[in-house]
Amino acid sequence: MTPNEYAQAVRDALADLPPADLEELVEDLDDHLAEVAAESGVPLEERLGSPEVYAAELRVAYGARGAEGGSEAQVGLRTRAQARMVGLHGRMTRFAPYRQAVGFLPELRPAWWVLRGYAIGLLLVSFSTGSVQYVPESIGAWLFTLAAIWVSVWVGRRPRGARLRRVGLAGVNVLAGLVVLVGMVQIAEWNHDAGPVAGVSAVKLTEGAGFWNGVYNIFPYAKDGTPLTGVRLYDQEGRPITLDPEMYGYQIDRSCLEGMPADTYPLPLTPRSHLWPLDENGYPVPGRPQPTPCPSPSPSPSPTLSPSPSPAKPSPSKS
Amino acid sequence: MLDLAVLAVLNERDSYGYDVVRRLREAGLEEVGDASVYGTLRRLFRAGALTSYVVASDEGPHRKYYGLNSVGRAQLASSAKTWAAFAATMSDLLKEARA
Repeated sequence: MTPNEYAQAVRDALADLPPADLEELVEDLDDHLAEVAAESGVPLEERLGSPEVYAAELRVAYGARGAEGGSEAQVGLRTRAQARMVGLHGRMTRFAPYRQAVGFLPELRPAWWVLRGYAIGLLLVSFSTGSVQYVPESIGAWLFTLAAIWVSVWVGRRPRGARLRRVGLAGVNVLAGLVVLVGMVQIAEWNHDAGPVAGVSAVKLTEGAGFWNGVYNIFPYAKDGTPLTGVRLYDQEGRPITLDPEMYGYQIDRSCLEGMPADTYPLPLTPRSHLWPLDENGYPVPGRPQPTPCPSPSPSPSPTLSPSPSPAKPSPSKS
Repeated sequence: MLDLAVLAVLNERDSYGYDVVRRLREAGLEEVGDASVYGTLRRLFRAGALTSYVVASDEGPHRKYYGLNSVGRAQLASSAKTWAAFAATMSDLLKEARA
């Protein structure tokens, strides 16, 4: 078989490739084979194997087509995209910061493995418990999350696997990235919402606050039964405790505060209708019910304390 | 891996197809297939990592010479780095296996 005959046999074996692709691949095959043939007198088939074997090897080396699949367009696109990336990378390596960043990136991979495991683990915990968790909220959730991190690191440390596994892993990475992103956005929103509460103001005890349900005033008493006035209350965080009497149709009578802050207990409350309407000077319109006098709880000797700051006030009983 | 070997050979100096095969074999890769090298050259060329030019020769056929461009050099550098890390890991592992 002459080099030209051999080359033709190879072409025939690759006939299933698109013509343009085939032409690109075997463009200078004749010259190449002539070169090989010129080197020694041993026939080409003996040195290179049959044209079919040669063609198969060529096919694999050129782009692993036919065996692994992937359309011409896909492979061509991928190769071109790769070439463009490599080209960009080549140009960028001229800049020292880029080189340093690229050199440092691999060291960050273990950190990503841990984060990925945490994200996927908590995602699964959230799914199985039906409650979204940003931090594991039970021993079981902690154990599961730690196991997920362990698996993630283990997978990360394994060498690159088969194509299918790489694709699967890429999917997991994208999912983990999304979970981390969504989680961060959610936490950022909390911070935004929680700002005023955590930073400054007051704990407002309103309807729905459990134990405080229905409470709109507080009457503190000393151990000996002496009613206390002007008492200020704080929660464990040092935030003043405020009530919301307006929800129950009462209003703090500002005139009774005498310069005291609006959260001193007992609150001087007046039914809202007593304050309303007012005339242009801010005084109640005559004929309307007048505000009750400022409450002044007085000590009561009876074991059942019944201070009556205003007619509608509850009577706390000593227990 | 063959990509890296071919790029390394071409980094030394420009070569034509059969010369690359010969130099790889001289370097110790005796088993390297002619078709594999040829196919690899064509693929690297299509991927934009190589330049090529034809040199006419008095005796024998025209020769298509291949050389690295900036893309090829960048690919060689990054592949070489990967390979060095892999080789170091393997020799560490084998050291333990021998001990």
